[in-house]
Amino acid sequence: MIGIEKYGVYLPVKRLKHSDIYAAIGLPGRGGGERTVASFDEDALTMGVNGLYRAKIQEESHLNGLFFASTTNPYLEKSSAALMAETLPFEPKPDFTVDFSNSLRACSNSVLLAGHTIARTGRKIAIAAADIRETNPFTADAVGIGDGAAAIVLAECDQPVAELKFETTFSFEILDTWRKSADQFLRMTEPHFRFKYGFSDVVTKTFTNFLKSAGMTPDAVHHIAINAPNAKMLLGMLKRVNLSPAPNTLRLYNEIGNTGVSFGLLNFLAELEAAKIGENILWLDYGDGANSLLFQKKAEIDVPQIEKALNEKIYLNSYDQYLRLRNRVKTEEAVFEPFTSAVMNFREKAQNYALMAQQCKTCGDVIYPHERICKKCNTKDNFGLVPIGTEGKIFTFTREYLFPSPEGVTAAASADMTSGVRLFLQITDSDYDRIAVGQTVERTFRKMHDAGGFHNYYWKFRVMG
Amino acid sequence: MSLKNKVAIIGVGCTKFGENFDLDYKDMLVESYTEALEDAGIGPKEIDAAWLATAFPDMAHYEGNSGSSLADPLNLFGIPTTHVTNYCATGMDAIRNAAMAVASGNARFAYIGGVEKMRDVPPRDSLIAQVVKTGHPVVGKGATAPGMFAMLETRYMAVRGVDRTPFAEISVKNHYNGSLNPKAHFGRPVTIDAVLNAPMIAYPLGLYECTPVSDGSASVIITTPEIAKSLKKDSILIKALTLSIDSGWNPQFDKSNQFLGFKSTQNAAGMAYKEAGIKNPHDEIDFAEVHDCFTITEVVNYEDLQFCPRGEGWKFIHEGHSTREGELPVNVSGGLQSSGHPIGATGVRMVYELVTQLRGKAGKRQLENVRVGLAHNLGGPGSVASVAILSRAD
Repeated sequence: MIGIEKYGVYLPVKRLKHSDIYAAIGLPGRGGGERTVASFDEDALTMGVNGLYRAKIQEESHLNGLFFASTTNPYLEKSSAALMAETLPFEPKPDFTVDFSNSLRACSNSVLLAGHTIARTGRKIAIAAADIRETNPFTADAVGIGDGAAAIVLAECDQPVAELKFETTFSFEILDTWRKSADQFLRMTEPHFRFKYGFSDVVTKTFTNFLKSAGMTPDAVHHIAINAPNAKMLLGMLKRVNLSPAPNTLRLYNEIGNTGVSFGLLNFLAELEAAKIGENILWLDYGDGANSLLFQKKAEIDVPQIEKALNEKIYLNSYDQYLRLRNRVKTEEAVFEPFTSAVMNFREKAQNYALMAQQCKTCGDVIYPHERICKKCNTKDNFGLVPIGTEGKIFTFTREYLFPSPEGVTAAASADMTSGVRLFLQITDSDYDRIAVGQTVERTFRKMHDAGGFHNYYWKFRVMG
Repeated sequence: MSLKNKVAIIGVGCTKFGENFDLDYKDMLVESYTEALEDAGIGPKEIDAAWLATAFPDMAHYEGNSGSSLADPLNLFGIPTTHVTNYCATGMDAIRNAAMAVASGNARFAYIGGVEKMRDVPPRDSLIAQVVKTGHPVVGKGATAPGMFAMLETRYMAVRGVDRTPFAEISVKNHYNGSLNPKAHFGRPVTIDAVLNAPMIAYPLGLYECTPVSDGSASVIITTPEIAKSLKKDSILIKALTLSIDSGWNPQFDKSNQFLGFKSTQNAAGMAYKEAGIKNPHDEIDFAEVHDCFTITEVVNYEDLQFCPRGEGWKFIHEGHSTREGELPVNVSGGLQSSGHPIGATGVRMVYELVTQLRGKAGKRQLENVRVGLAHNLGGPGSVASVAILSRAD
């Protein structure tokens, strides 16, 4: 059967309270919720990679395809999926890398097409969805919007977490939310119009068509996951079929915000985690029409991820800090542009993207960064590549206050990884003042800088909660 | 080839270190050169080889990129002149190379000029800008000089069970010493409270635990002991001058690195003690100039240079053994903490200080009865170290 083998959830740990947004635009006293904020070193691609790693993609030995769904690809011309494939610590890399973009239902589009591909070829495809959503500063648009990613591995397999049972798709053009090709910020049309003739109408029609096509009655659908514009709209839709959302689904609306293409998948995973084995979960993904994908839960989930991701958070102290992290503060400070090289980028993919260590085939020593001659036994050019490991323990660290950073501080550590490598990386998204020798760190894929006119990606540590 | 007793220092010169806004790279080199030349009592035509020590050549001005940056301002043409760069140990490595030329008979009089112009821009635009703008695009990015040494102090505190106090005591000692040195960048002492409460640069290193970013130049002229004797100069003999290299850009990736000392210093010191025939450094060395770019560096230097047992560097300062009045005064010049650190000039300045003290010409900061001095120059957090042992010729 075709189904979801495993999945991962990645939500940025930074949170901004809605009350801070309202206070900044002069509407104090409003808003009890909060939202995720991707940090200055994140974009849709990095979040997608971190979603794949949360899905333990690093434990795979082979993948046929890697699909990436996003409306905020860091490159307009150049594949994100192809770059993301280079972060996987195994060879060969997936051959079939595709970016699904432009529509808010790009994620379910990619799942749908992955399902078709697998049905025809029996293959295994990883799918990541992520968006970093930018809204006009000093407007309430940032309320109810968030940043986040999720990933699944879809495959022909005997024991999936959830089996893909049925699907329909429906296209419908409407100016609901959009960005022109040069727009930085989200545009939205009149809310009552877009809810009535967009979301509400399209999702209702899709649901009706789904029941008809699948030959099912509404009571056979035990959970419905929808990327609704807000919690009120979600509750309204579900009430009509006598369903209520899982508690964590509601928390996605109140604590994360609508995360663009990944939001439908996050809704689906929250419902999947809450479902009992054998129950049906219908994922209705809205955006320029809607897709319906029916899954049946087949196995218990060992480690639920939504709740953990919801609870890992570091609050921004103000709206100002949010603007600074998003590079929205105009400054004429001198910028030090780092040296970089597209050629080095090409040459060092295994070292920098997949973070592969070298293991000497003569003496077994494991080293990083890459060398030609073994540091232990002096053998030349006799290395194999091995994964460096995802976790380590801090051997020593510092907090640097001179190195330029939108956060003011650049923490860094040397940590001993499970592979035996001593790895030095910057530390991000952590309680910097409480970093200590011996703490466990995980690595997280990040954008280091944009020198050279391209994105320079690498890894950082994050102290594990 | 051992350098022991084969090379004599006959002339030294040094500019004031600091914010030399009215002097450029060449001006400073001219100043320290002419002082050294006058001290040696020789003419420019007698110099038959020269070495230029500049760690980070100014790409904008093309200053310090080759030996011609020395030849042009000093009008020293037609002789072999070499530019040396070896991180912050550049200065002493230049002297080491010149000493080998003299010891081998290749040069009769060799001149070494160390110079660095860092304050034509604000301090942060100098060394911090360098680590942002250059180096590997991503690997090791974020590593700055204060940050890399701070990682030693973090580890040292965790393993040795001490707080920041002994490191602050290094700063207090060296800033006091520097207040006696008219050529030091800083001219005033600091209190321990001021050190502990100063703005944080790279935790756990505060502002007064970091060397300032300075301009400066120092010069040394060397010859053979025989020629020195014939000139009746108050010369100082090189008993040892060594250099050792450890991993350069990635000691923070080295799993054997305990972050409690520097293998390069340990190796260079071991070689130097062997060369000079020193069995007990603590007792046989009268005073030392060591590389105190950051306070933690001086603490681990005590251990690496065998001034005290391993793990007791913090006690060595805390109990006052390295003060002017202690049994092994360290950095009576003020060290890098107070004198400043114009990188290529620093190692040369250390030798200038040793020679000046050994000749009894150090003025207010003169130590009594010193015959054997040690200089230790360290670069790149610990990737390169040089140790010199000098003594009076008589």
